[in-house]
Amino acid sequence: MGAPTQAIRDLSGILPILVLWGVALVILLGAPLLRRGPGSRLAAPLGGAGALGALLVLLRGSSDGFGDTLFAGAALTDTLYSSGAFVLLLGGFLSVLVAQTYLRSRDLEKPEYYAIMLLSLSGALLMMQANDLIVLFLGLELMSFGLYVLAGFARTDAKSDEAALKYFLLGALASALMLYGIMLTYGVAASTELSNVQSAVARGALKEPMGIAAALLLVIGLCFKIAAVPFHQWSPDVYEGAPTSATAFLATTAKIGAIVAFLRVCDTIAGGYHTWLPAIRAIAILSMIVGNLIAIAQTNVKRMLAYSGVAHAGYLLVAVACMGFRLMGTKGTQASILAMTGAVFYLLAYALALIGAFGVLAYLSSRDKDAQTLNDLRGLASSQPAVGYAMVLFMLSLAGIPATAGFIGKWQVFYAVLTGGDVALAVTMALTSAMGVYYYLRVVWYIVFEESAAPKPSPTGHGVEARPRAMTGVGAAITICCIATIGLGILPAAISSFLTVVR
Amino acid sequence: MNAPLQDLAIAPIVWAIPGLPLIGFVLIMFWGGGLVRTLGDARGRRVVGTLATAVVLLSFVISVFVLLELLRLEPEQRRAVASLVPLMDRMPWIEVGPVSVQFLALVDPLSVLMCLIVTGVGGLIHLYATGYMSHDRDYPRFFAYFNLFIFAMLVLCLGESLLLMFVGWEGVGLCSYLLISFWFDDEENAKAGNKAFIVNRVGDVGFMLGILASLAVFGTLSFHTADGRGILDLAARGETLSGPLTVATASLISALLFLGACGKSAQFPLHIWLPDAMAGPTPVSALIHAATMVTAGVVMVTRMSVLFAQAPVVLLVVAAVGLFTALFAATIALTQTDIKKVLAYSTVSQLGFMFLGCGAGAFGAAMFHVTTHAFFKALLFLGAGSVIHGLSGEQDMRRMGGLGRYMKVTYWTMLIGWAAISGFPGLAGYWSKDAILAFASGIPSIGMFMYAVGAFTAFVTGFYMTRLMAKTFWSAPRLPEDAHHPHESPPSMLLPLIILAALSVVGGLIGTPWGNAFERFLEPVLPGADMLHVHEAIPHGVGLALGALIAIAAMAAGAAAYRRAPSAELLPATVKATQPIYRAAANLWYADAAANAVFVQGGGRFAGFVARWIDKGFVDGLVNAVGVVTAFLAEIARGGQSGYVRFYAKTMIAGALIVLAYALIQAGMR
Amino acid sequence: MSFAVPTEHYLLLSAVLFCIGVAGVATKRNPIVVFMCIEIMLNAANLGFVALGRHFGDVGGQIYTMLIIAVAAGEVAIGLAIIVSLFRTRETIDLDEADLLKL
Repeated sequence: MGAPTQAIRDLSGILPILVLWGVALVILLGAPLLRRGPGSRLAAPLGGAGALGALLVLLRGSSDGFGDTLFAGAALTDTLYSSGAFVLLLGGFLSVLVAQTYLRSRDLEKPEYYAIMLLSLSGALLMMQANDLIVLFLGLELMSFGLYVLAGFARTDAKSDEAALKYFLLGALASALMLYGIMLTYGVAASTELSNVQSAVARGALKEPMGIAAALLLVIGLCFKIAAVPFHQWSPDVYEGAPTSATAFLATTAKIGAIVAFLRVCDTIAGGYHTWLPAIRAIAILSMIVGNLIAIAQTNVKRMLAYSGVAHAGYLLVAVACMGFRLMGTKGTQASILAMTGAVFYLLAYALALIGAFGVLAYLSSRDKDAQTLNDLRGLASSQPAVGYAMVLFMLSLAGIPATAGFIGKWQVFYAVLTGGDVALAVTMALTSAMGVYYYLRVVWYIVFEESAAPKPSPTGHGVEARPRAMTGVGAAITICCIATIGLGILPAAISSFLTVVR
Repeated sequence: MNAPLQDLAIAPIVWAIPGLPLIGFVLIMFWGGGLVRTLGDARGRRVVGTLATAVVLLSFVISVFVLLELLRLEPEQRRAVASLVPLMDRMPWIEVGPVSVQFLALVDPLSVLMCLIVTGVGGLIHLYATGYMSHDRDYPRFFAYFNLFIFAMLVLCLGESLLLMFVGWEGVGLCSYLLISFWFDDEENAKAGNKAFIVNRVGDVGFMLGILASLAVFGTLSFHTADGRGILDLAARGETLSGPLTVATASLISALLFLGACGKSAQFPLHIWLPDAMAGPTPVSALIHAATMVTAGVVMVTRMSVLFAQAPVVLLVVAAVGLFTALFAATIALTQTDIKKVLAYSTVSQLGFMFLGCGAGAFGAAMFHVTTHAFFKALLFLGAGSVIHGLSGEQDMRRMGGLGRYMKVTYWTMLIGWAAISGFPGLAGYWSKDAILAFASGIPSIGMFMYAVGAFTAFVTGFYMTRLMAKTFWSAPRLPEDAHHPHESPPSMLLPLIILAALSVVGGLIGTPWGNAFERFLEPVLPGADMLHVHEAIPHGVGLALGALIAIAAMAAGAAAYRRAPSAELLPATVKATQPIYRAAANLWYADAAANAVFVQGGGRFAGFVARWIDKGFVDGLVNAVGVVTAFLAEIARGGQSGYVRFYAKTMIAGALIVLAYALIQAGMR
Repeated sequence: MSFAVPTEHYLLLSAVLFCIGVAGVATKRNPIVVFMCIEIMLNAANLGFVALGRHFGDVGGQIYTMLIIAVAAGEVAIGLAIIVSLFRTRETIDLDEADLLKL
């Protein structure tokens, strides 16, 4: 095998990333043309084409050279990556659709937005593909930089600035903690490549203090990205302050990228599960309880979804905890594989419902009104039934009611952890899910049963605007999310060929 | 026992039984409003109502065909599967590891029986609702939800796996929530809907855990599989995925499932949602909260009878909870003045009887009572609805009376319903209630006690139903001066009443102790009953005679008591306050019938006490307390979200330090 | 060469620097200072990488440091931009006054 073919193999393995970079570059270079005039209509389609193109490249290329490591062991392609990337890029594409409408109606549209989105997606992809902790860190930072900027994209809005600052400072702190953990890992394993880390763990690296600190700092850094308690406090503030389309994007991208990386890292260090498993279990249980609890007290839908995101991080951590069972007999191995597949499906269901829900908020926003609170949803089922019932569906999916994708995802994770024999986590998951129904149902309540606060659509109200808006990006995004949420709830097997993680 | 599963000739259209109502739901949900707008109000409503009713009745027709097909087979062979989604025959729905769940319908006597009840009684109530709801502004929405409910209920009954059953279970819960809060302008209705949903979730957690436990134990969720490794196949042989089925395992699973059943079927202490659920329109009360959905718990327990049969302690708990709920709810029914509330508590009480039957191991008798109860309770609710409709929305029995002469058909059909629920000899309720009591007497060691309490409850039942009839129809009119003139309901509402009345008369004849066709039909799906050697401690003749005696005594005592109180008020306080003329009569009554006095006053006080303190104070208080405490904790917890970055950073660092310190200390101790 | 500093000393210094950084993040009110503290934390890690690389005789440690310095540079660019943007809308960058978003 000659050097050129190896280089081609390496590059074709990261083709989706290259596509994203290429399109981002085109947008950045063409920004002067795309900023105003007829060109301004092109930025969003370009962004969408970037995400979609990467998705297609991923689906086409997934059969060739699979399971290989690339770039001399820096990166790899496997089913965990490909299924995670599928979910990520689908979410990215839907977020572009939401952004297209929202940014325009809020007067925020700039071509850079889409370029930053694509770069952020490429960071998340890199994170999922990383076979080396340093590469993982680079991916994480690339992803986060984009998200910091997007959170503060509404530059004249003090809340947006504040959100970006909080996200940035706390995110940088978490990154620094994680980097220190990587450095310590390097110290105990003499390498940051995952396979070497794994063999170091097998030799007992996680029994010495340096190894323990290394593993836990890694866990903490990733827990920040998925907003798990007690590293969650940035999320409600950022979700609320960021422009709605950016919230939808950062909520899903960060979670997908970090959870897939999390699964991989914990799978690698499964041999030393006794050091990190108790911490993950505690963080998972805390997240499920605290997230669901505080969400009950919220009246701002974006904030409520942030706290619900904390709870979902807890559910996803249950799947991550299953990685620790890998070396505990056949049942444990089975549980860890089930948990990977389950977590990816969960992420898909979560992304669809969350982007859908933020999409509905974006749909309802206009130049002088940013829909955020429960009151903005009042009586939606009678004033705009299609959007209203779509939101109801997303809430039911987030709550995990059967016949929605959310239920299947929760069920799969549930089943995995039960196979692993961890009854405490399973029971907490069941009980807190029941708790969560309360606040999701309150949203349903406002939509279906409350009278609309505003007088019936007057000529200036959004009733008139609403009609053409259905044809825009956000309308398409909501439609896709609806169909996929129901479709996957009824027939999840349809997509299992993309999403099943095999070892 | 383990006849192989097979395909019926009619299997390819079994999907249509739940499918048609689903189609109806989709059509009405999306185009119903538009239809009413384009066709004009009257015609549009007629089209929507007809469509909704037609799909359900068509489902009923198909169910009948399936029944006929099933009857042609040998009893042991009457179990088949059919695809619920015709386009993807036997394609997996969920595949997680070794578990594969498919969209399959289990066609056996139990599911077909439920299909017949749901679509038959459901169709009649749909027809009734076209009249009852004719003035409502949200007519299409109502029928959309109604059809959706039928769909979900059929999925619950037909589902071939616990998971599919759970999907239907949640579906009916959602519809119930939507329909209780249907008139959401009134906050009370809205609260009632919330209460129903939340209380049901408590039970659902139990059900969900039960599902997971059976998955862990049996390694599958299917009831039956072709190779005989379904949950019920394994349990019938006393096996699990690994090793024999122990009593402890069977008890755990059945206890969890029973918790789910308690929530859905309103058993103490999870019964509190049902009376409030009467806030919904009356057809909803009749269909969901009397005839079908609330019996889902009984159906589930019956479906899992093999497991319950191997858990004697749980079975005893089921019987005890059922009996207690029956008596408890019956005493409360004595004190209610809202006609629908009386019927609601009566439903809770009758459900208690059904669980008593299950607990006694007489699953067939319990299902028989489900069937007859569907007839007469739907009849009574629809009759009450007709009264309410005729009085333009009045529900308080203190402002009724003497309505018999204005609404002849309603009166006579209600009369039949009254006789049927009281257990008048020969009518539907007589046979089924008697079967349950007879089997309850066979419960080891405490059977006779159970029988005695059950018989007493039957007496109370007869009495409070007589009170309802007296207050509504027999006594002197007490309508407010300004009330509308009471009027009889339209034919679309009377026809279902007449049909249900006929069924309440003859419906019990399929299950008499002589030639019990009903039991024989269900027997193949009730191996649990065989395991238990259920028997009757009381001879047939004695039981039937006693039952008849109790029913007639209750009806006569009630009639006699109310005959002497034309105002239909037995309690002296109210009598004194409102109508002094009858004070003497009331006093006479006290002196005259001491037994009744003790019963009504003491019992009334007891019931009032129960209603006020145990029910409202303790149980409701508990539920409210959970809500308040949760909200309080939420407020405290969100206080940590101070908005200051430095505070957030400190939290993160503290969290990191705790995690690190814990891990290091733990490692040091190892 | 007998006076070569042992690797442990570098790691100890690195740990001390890291703790200084953490303490600063938790206590400072000026975001620029907070940000500098985070830079100290990153550089603590850098120091560790270099020292460990030398200890293992592995060039990887030095290369990682280069990568991290590049990442830190990117972080500076974004961080300062955000702080400037905040100053424009709020006329102050005091962290304790950035509390519009809470509860």
